[in-house]
Amino acid sequence: MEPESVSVVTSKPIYRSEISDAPCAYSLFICEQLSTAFSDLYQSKTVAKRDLVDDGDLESVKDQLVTLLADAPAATLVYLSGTEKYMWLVGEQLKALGVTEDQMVMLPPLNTERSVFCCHCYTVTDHVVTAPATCAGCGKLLAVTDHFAKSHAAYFGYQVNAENATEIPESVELS
Amino acid sequence: MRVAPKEVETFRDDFTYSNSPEAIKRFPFPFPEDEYRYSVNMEPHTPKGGEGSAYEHFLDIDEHYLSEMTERKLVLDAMPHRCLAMDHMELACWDMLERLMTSLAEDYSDYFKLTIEGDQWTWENKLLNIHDTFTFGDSSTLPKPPLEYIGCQVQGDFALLDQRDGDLFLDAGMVTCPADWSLAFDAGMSFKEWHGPVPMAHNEGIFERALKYLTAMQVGSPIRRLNWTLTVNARMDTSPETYHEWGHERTSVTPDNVGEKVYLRVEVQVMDRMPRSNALMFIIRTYLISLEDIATNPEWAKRMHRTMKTLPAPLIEYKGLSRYHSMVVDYLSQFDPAN
Amino acid sequence: MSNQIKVEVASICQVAPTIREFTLEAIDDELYPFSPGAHVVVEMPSAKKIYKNAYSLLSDPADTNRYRIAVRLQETSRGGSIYMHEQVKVGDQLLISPPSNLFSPFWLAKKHLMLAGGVGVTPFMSYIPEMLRRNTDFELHYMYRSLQTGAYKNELSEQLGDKYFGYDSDRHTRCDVTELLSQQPLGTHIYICGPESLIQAVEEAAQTLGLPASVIHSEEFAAPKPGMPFIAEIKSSGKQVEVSAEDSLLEALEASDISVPNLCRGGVCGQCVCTVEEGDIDHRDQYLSDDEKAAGNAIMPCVSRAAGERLVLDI
Repeated sequence: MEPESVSVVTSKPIYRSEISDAPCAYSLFICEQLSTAFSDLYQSKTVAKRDLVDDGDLESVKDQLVTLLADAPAATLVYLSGTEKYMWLVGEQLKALGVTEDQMVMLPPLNTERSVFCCHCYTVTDHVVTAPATCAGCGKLLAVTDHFAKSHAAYFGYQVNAENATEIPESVELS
Repeated sequence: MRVAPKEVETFRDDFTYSNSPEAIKRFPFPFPEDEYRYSVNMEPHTPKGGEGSAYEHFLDIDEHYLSEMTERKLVLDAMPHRCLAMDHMELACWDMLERLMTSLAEDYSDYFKLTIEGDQWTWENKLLNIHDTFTFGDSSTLPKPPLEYIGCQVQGDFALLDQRDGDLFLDAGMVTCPADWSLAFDAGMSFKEWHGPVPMAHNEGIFERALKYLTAMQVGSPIRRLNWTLTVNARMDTSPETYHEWGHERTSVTPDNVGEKVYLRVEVQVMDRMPRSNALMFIIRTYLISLEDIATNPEWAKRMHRTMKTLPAPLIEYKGLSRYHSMVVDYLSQFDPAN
Repeated sequence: MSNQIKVEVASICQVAPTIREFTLEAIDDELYPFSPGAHVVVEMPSAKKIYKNAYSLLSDPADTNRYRIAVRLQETSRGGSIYMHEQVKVGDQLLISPPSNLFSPFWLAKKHLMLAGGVGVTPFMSYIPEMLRRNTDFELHYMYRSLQTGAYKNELSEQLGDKYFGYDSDRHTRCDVTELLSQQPLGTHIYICGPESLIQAVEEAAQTLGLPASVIHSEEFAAPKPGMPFIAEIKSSGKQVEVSAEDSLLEALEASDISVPNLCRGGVCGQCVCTVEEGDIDHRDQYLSDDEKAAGNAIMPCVSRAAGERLVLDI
């Protein structure tokens, strides 16, 4: 029983920066904001058909996806770049349109910000970089765990000082 | 049912919940050996222990039936999201309703009656004064959606797992008395994802094996396993949703009150394949017993002392016992002089 | 197994030159409802030994009055299909397992593409009524040899119209799997039931085209290959237990009154693990880790066998 293995929460997503050259008939590139690296990636993938969506607004992304994927082939690959929350929320939209998780290539998130789901009031607090974090819904001070739910694009949070109100752990930066 | 349902007792506020001597005798004590060991520990869910045993029937209806149904209503009234079913789980919900109704009517005919005429079903629950006729498969003919309707009449939490591509997904359930997990957060997760926070077991490959076993399960051969934790006060709803209301109780344990305040919380988990939908029904039936009541059985007290003493640190932490684990061990040590 | 269901053969009909259909009705209990893609294991008590083969249920899942299965006479049969074809008569009683399903449709798919090879059409026979009820998008591509197989081809063609595509290799019509897969829209799930060669061809085409592995589902209808017979020697008593090709080591031990604790009998729960003193092991379980398997001193007798002629068990 090794201590470091004990703390591994297997629901925490793992992102890889190396991108394999898998075959496909159509590739879709979706980013929250276009970076040189993502632009280069888009340029480098010479497939029969490809599109680029550069849009940080989830609602407008959704409309574009419905149009772009209406006649897409089964052999579609989607590359995603942005914050973790952005990628997984777009991922949920993609799933609803028939894209499987193994058709999505998520690049390492642009920053270490986390979205945190408050288990007490179900509010998701965005842009969390330190723990504990204050819930934007109920104001409770939340412990931020590594337990991640794709459908909420957020980590599980619970009141950190529920057992003893005076026990507030020191603030730590999240990775 | 050998023990008739008692009048309603409470699992909150004044905590009037208590176990009768008969209920103590039939308590599903979970420790088969002196040392704690993590294992899949599954066995066929077949009758065991004879008349009156907690394992006598597929579902165990006991003296706490009315209390637990009252508690469930309190939870769902305050938090309707504690029950959910994704659209594609509709058929599985009907599978579950059928399985629960037929087994209740067969095993507890004094209390429950099911009359089937084609797709017209009539259900009577004399304990809760329910009498409804509905069309099987048509949710609009029931007062509530099928999972919620039947779930509010059976002790225990329920999850319906959709089986896809060799994995199981948590796509429906009613969870009002969980040992610290949230259905609202975990909904839709794969087997491995919703077990993500469980320490140690991942390395030992336990989840891979359990998943292989569960996905191969046949209709008509349910299995069970026991799980346990400790709870301060007889609180059924130890959910994350209400943790801010009960968390502080963990600091209220003292060497003087540990025997009456700390409860062994046992889950008899039953898994059963649903025939029409191929979903897996997962019943988590929770039993609570105070350490004091455990001590009325010297063998149990001794066994539990040894198990608590050898519990690995990560599990003490994961189960939330850190604040009072040593008091539990000290209290139980009086029943185990050799240790 | 105690949970077996006793059924009576209500009717038998020849549905292709080498395929017979059996309609089974319950004798004592009611039949379980089942889900599309489910199969049952049929016990066939021939004079020589009891065979157990899995067959897909091909009736409409909504019909719980009877189950229908189709059995192809296999050239290289272990004896099961010969027994079904030559011995079983209307009115005979058989024991079957409750249905289980490892080949369920992925209901969240946008479109279902079914590829059947020969008698591999059977699980799709239970898919189709449910897909029609749910009004989902699907196609059936059925590859057969009309001189041997092709069961139900006419009724399927008639019922499904433009959702049905037949390929008779005895008449030189073939399915271009790569072309077919390349035309599928996003969200298509692909189901293959047929010989290993068909499954392989589809999987290779899918990989070449770049279809994700998670949309490819297959079930091979061929019975598992039997193991080689061997001798298990019990160290404590010196007793020699003969394990036949068809029996598991666990069954053979039990037949010799040697009880081994067990639960799942499927290589998962780990209850029946036995220490091996001598002999090589053909590990077939999910329980032991790769390292434990390599160490070669433990066996799960419910599924694993000797790799050689003899094993010495320390029990």
